[in-house]
Formats: sequence, structure tokens, C-alpha cells
Amino acid sequence: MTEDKLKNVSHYFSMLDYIHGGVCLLQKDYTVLFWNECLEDWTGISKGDIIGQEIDQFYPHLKEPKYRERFSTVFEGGPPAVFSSQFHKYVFPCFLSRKRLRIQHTTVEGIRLDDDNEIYAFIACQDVTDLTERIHAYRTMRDQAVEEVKERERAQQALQEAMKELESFSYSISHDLRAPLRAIQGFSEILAKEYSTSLDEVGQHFLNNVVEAGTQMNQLIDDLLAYCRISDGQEQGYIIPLQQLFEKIHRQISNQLHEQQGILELPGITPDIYVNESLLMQIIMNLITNGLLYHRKNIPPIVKVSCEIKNDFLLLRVNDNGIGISKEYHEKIFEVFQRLHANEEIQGTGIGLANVKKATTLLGGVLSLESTVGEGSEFFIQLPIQNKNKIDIMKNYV
Amino acid sequence: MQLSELQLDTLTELINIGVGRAAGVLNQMTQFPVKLQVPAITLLRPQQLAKESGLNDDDPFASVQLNFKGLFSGNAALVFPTNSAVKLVSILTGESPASDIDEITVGTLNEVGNIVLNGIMGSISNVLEQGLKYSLPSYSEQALIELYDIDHLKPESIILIGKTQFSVEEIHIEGEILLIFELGSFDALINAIDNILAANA
Repeated sequence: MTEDKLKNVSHYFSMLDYIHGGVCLLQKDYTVLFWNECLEDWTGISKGDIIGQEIDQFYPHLKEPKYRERFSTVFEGGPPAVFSSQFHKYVFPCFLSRKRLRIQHTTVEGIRLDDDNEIYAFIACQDVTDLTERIHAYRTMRDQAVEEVKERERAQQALQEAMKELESFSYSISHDLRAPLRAIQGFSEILAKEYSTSLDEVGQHFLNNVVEAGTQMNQLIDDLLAYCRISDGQEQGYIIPLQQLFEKIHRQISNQLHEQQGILELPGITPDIYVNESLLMQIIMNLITNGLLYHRKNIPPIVKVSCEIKNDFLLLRVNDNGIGISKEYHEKIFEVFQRLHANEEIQGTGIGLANVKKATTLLGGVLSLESTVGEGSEFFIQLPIQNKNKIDIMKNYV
Repeated sequence: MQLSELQLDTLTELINIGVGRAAGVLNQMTQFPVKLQVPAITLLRPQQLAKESGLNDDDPFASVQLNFKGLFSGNAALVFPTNSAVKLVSILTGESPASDIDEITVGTLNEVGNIVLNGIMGSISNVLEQGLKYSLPSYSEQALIELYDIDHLKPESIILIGKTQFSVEEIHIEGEILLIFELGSFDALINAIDNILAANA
């Protein structure tokens, strides 16, 4: 190409000196005809040094077939060629800093100049360093987050399996304990009934202890089995009207009420909704029983149960005038076998409130407690209601 | 559009020469040997596209498109279900598959599509002996039904669909090559094919 023609090309493309991106024009013999100012900045190679020279002298890697063959297609009138940053990274290697190379996305397009039929390769180079680094940072962050979620899921699954195994173990142990216990209770009752005259006072005292321990263990097994049944979903049984549930509770609790000389106030008007019988029974019965059991000395227990519907939730309150629970134990008491009192003081198994919590969770509800030591406690349970029609009826009712 | 078996075989062969060349280029860039094959092609009118191509679902497809103009005009596209696109890039680059298509992946897909489509267009323009003007390849992600809105295609256009199989060792990925030829241009291609067949008869 003559010097005049080079000048013309330089003039023709001069506007491209103002763009932020590398631009270069090659002749079919790979002579550089144009080299914009951006490429001068990036590479440190001046227009004067490179224009009129073969590009391979400066960038020998462009002789490699993976570049050469695709450039040739462009010179022959073929479609443009794309050199992506992931496969090539740098068509014109140049440093941003001592160790950091400028990452590029490059396109090579065949163009014709006005006055001849020859095809020239128009190379446009975009700096994608920032973008690439940001994407890599994002990918690292995303991969870490995904890994953390997976790790958490694995841990959760392992925990669930361990819990299931433990509950199944508890269930089978409780079940197996029943038979020998029945024998102990049966024979000790026979002893008490038929041979008590043969025992002195100390012997009778020991025998009473055996009978009482048997009763306590029986209760413990009952509670444990209930806990296991709730855990494995066996207790998700019948759906009955709430009113019917309270009637059932009233019948079942009457003996204990009489024994404890307590007062139980159940809701007079009950929302017209249907509830899960066994799970809600576990919740309410355990709270009432506890309220009657843990009463203050010489003060007859009073337990009040109230319920209302608010924003598609059944709000249930059970409060008592009992001994109360210190704040530090408000979480601990819902764990299995957690008891705040010795058996000699108040009899219990330490499973009741764990059952309450588990049944509430299974019903998709939440449980909270407010209590003052020496005054009493109030358990507050919020349960979602799915049956919309019933809610509407109930709203009119309440 | 009825082609004889011989014409169809020749056209398939022509496309396979193009993708074979493209595989050669890809193999210079990647560390894994890539095989590219188009075992069969189908020719459709625009109104048959949704019904007969099996591409009428709403899933997004990743596509690289190249427009060509001249005596012979149309659009060539390499189209992949998004998941396959991510998998293909991961195989070619040796990186673990990304969960989504980011800008780096878009750039890489653009280059892969560019290489494959250039191979095919090179092969076709060789037999046509005609120079064409090409656009820069462009990438998009959308449902095929949006990509090829039949209301904007001339009813007489011919759509060539070729199932493209990429394989690297035991891993196979399938995509679609879609070539849309505007009215008249397809006849020119068939004439050129007939000339080849006559010369080899």
C-alpha cells in the first residue's frame, strides 16, 4: 500500500481514535493499516511503529492456526469472527498493571474500502477485564452460597434421620417395657390385696412404693408413646368440631378436677371450626393437667381456657394460677424429660410440654409462654386454619 | 418444498462439511476433542415451524444468530435449550457448569455459534460461488416461538432445521441449527446442488 493510501486510511478512520476500545485494520497480508489511540495506550506500541508493519512481528501468536484460519475466512469474504474472552483472553496481550493482563472480547469483520475490491480485517477489541473479574467474584460467591446451602441440607437431613431413629428406638423401647411393667404392677397389686396382712409396716411401705413407682412408670410410657406417635405423624387423625373437642376434654378431666379440688373454665361459645382431634387434645389436655398439678400450696388450682379467631388463626390461651415458671426455664421446659421439680414434690414425667410443642409445630402453629413465679402462667398458641368456609361462618358467630 | 432424496443427502452433506470444519476450528481452541454432526435435516415452511419442529414450547432457548444478505438472504441460527448451552460451554472450557448464563458464558456461546455458523455458511457460499454480506453474530435468550415470529416471516420462506450433535468423548449434547432462507434464495441453493450432482453424475 502506498504512503498516500496509508494516509487516506488513517484519515478515514481517525474518528475511531476517540472511542474507548481497541481498533485495528489489517490488510490481507497482515500489514497493519490502522491502529487507534486506544490500542497505543493499551499496548504501548505507537501508530508510527506498527502501521505498515506485519502484525505477526509484534504478536507472533496470531500466526497460530486458531487465529490464522479464522482471519483468512474473513479476508475471503466470510462471516465475521468472534474471539471470546474465555477461549482467548487476550488477542493483543497488554498489561493493566505488573501482573494483570487486560481481558478482551474481540470481533474481526471483513470490510471493503471505497476505492478497491479488497477485503480488509476490521478488528474491534473490547476491554472486559472489570466485567470478567466481577463475574468471577460473583461465581465464587454463588458457589460458596450453594455449597453452604447443600451442607446445611445435608446436616438437616442427617439430624432428621438421627431424630427419626431415636424416636423409633424410644417407641420400641417404651412398647417393650410395657409387658414386664404390667407383670410388676399385676403381681404387686396381688401382693397388696392378698398378702398385705403377712407384711409388717415396713414391708407394706415398700410394697406401696413399688405400686406407686409402677403407676409413675406406666404414665411415663404413655407419655413417651404419645410423643413418638406425634413425631412420626401417627397422631394426625380425625377432624372434629372444636366444640366437640372441649366436651370430650371436660369429660376426661372431671376425675382429676375432683381430686385436685380445682376449677376449670372452658370457653362457653366456641368458634365453629373443625380441628385435629388428637393433636389439639394433646395440647389442651397437657396444659390443663399441668395447670391443675402445679398449683400453689393451699391454693386450689384454677385453669381457664379461652379461644378466638383472628386473621385466619385460632388463638388459644390456657392460663392458671399456679406456681409459675421462672423466665430462664421458658425454653427448656419444652424439651423431653426436662423437669423443674423433683418427683417427691410434684409427680410428672417431663414429656407433657414436649408433646404440646411438637403437636403445635405439626399443626403449623406457634407457642409462647408468659409466666410470673408465684402468680401463674399463660400459654398462648396460635394455629393456622385452612378451612375458609368455616372461618367465615365462625366470624359471624363470634 | 419437495427435494429428491439425492438433493436432500447432498444438502445434508454440505452442512456436515461445514460443521466438520467448525469442529476442526473448535478443536484448536479446546483441550477436548469435539465431534460435530448433523445426521439429518428437515425443510419447513414458516407456518409448519411450531407444529412440526417440536420447538413450540415456552422454555427459553439460547441462540446465536447471523444475518446474511446479498443475492442470497436469510438468517442462520444455532439454538440450544439453556441447560444444554451451559453444559456445552462447561465441556468446551473444562470449567464446572454454571447455574446460569452470565456475560462470560454469553461471550463463549457467541464464539461457538459463530464458528459453527461460519463453517456452514462458508460451505454454502462455496457451492453458490457468491459473496454475501454478514452481520455480526448476536446472542439472545427467548422462546423459539418469539425468536421466529411467523408473522414476520414471508410465507414462502424456507426453514432448514438440522439437529446438531456435539460430542466430547462420551458426552453428547444436542442443539438445533436453524437456517431461514428468504424467497428465491433456496432455489439458488438447490440449483447449485443440482449442478454439483450433474458434474459428478
